[in-house]
Amino acid sequence: MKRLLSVHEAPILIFTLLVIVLFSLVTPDFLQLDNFRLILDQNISMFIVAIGMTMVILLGGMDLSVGSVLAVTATSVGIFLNHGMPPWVAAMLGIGIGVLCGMVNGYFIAYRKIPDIIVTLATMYIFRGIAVGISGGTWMNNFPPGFRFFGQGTFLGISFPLLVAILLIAIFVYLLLYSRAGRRIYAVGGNSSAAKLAGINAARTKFMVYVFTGMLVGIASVIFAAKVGSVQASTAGNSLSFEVMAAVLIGGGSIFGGVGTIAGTMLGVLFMGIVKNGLIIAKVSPFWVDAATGFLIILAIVINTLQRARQSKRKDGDLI
Amino acid sequence: MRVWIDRLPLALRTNKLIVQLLLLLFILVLFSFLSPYFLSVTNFMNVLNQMVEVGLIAIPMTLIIISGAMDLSVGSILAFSAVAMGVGFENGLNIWLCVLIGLFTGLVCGAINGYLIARHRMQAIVVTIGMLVMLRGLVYVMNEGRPISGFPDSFYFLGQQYIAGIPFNAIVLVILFLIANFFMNKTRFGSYVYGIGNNEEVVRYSGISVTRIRFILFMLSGLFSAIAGVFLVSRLASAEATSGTNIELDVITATLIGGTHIFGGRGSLTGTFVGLLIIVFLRNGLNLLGVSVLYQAVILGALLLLAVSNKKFSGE
Repeated sequence: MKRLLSVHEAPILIFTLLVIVLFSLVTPDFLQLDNFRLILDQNISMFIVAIGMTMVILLGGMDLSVGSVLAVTATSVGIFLNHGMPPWVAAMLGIGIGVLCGMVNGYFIAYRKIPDIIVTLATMYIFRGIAVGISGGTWMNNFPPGFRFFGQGTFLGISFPLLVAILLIAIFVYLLLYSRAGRRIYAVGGNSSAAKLAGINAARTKFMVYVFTGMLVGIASVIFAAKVGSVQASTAGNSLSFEVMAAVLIGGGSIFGGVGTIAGTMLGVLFMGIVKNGLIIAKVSPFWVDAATGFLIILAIVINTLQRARQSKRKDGDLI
Repeated sequence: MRVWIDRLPLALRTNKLIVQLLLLLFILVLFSFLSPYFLSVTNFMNVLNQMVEVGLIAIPMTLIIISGAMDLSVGSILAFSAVAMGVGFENGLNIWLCVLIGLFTGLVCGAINGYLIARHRMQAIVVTIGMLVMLRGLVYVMNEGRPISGFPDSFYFLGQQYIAGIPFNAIVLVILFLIANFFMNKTRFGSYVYGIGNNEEVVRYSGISVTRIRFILFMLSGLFSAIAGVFLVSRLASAEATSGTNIELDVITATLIGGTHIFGGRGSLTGTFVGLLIIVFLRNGLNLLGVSVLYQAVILGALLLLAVSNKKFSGE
């Protein structure tokens, strides 16, 4: 039992189970297989974006611009499709645009050494403005049926977006745990100067992480556009950055960098999804959802700080 | 770029205030040529009237950034206290009592920020992002997103009255800037703020309570956001749930263009005031040219990146 509790993801797992029990008691509609499928289905984009955000937070950074990158990518995919481009090409180009946005973020953060919060705050507004500009302020819809496959199709009996998400999660879990590039991210996030002395190119690692994040957001936005069927540039992914950030922190990621796992983050996303879904099913006003998200962010940072205090006490003894 | 900077006279390279004033002059001249409506007393007074909210919040934001932290929750605190004031008024309370309620709400929000950040040493950015999302949600919970209006005429004095041709709220702003500038330059409190930004440990070992200073700074931020909220409601004659959205972009850009260093320790309120003028005249000029608000956000975002990435400009 003690060994079970010392697993990194144990607190979030317990929290998730508690919330499930709570909502099952409040309303009978909650504990249904269909409802769980719905929760998974609604949060596919968040799962994918959260992989990238986990890596960014592992570096001790933060990316506020993911929602705007999602808007830019989804809008441009919509434009490509409306100009009669084949769905696959449009999707690939969209992912390319996501990579490009990530490169802009990464260039300023890694090579110009501007704090990530300032860069992504600025690009959050820049990308959003560009998205609305190229869309001309109208809704993007009328996607061809071939494109809908990315969001609603099934492959071997499993929904296609879920398959993509599982594949991406598997790839990035492997990369973070077993590849050199992944271990470098943990090293730079844990102790940047030590990593530098060990010969790791910290700037390049940072740059790569932001590029990967851009790519993941690109993939997420293709799925988002195909699933929703219509994209409005000014609101698409509006609160995505904050929600994903909350999910990573709830999932045990440390804002100070170096600590966190993709498995924990995925549980965090699930937790957020369950809370949102439960609040709506329990017929609480939808306005409470935002308030709850903010409260969860603060709760996450409180837990984060407590954990850090406990760990540093264990390391330093009780002298301080 | 480097060569170009090196060729400038020495005075220009060392005194960033002159660079900022030149930039301001450039914007003024540029828009005077581009728009026939820009260069007029009416328009300038209009700009002064509109810059008050951003300016009020920029005062504590400058101090907080100098002390090495950041407050992203200002826009939501503004809306929260504005709507709290409006809800109080709807329930039949006296308007000036409601103003006090609004200010108190802002103070409490700031105190929550300060308690978590200063007392428990949590990351300022994450805490204030949490407050940003939560308070905006609570604003909608409080009044379900509908605007509150119908305030008495005496209340509109704050945001709409002109004294000797100058807007009353701009006079208040300038006075508050002068007071804050005095406190930053002439009192121990100001030195402590600079000290915390430069080396927090040394300040602590000098026997000064860093916790208390930080706590006061975030309380001030909450209070000034609430004052900005009151002035905004008075100017627009309605308390809306969306008010103050994205105001942190303007505030932070004004502060950073004004030469305050993003890592703390350096900066001045004079610089922030010039940065503020640059931002508001830029926005006003773009408005007169009919540039959409979203493109303005793009331009401001680019300006923010430029201000921070150009090391000469930010005084490194």
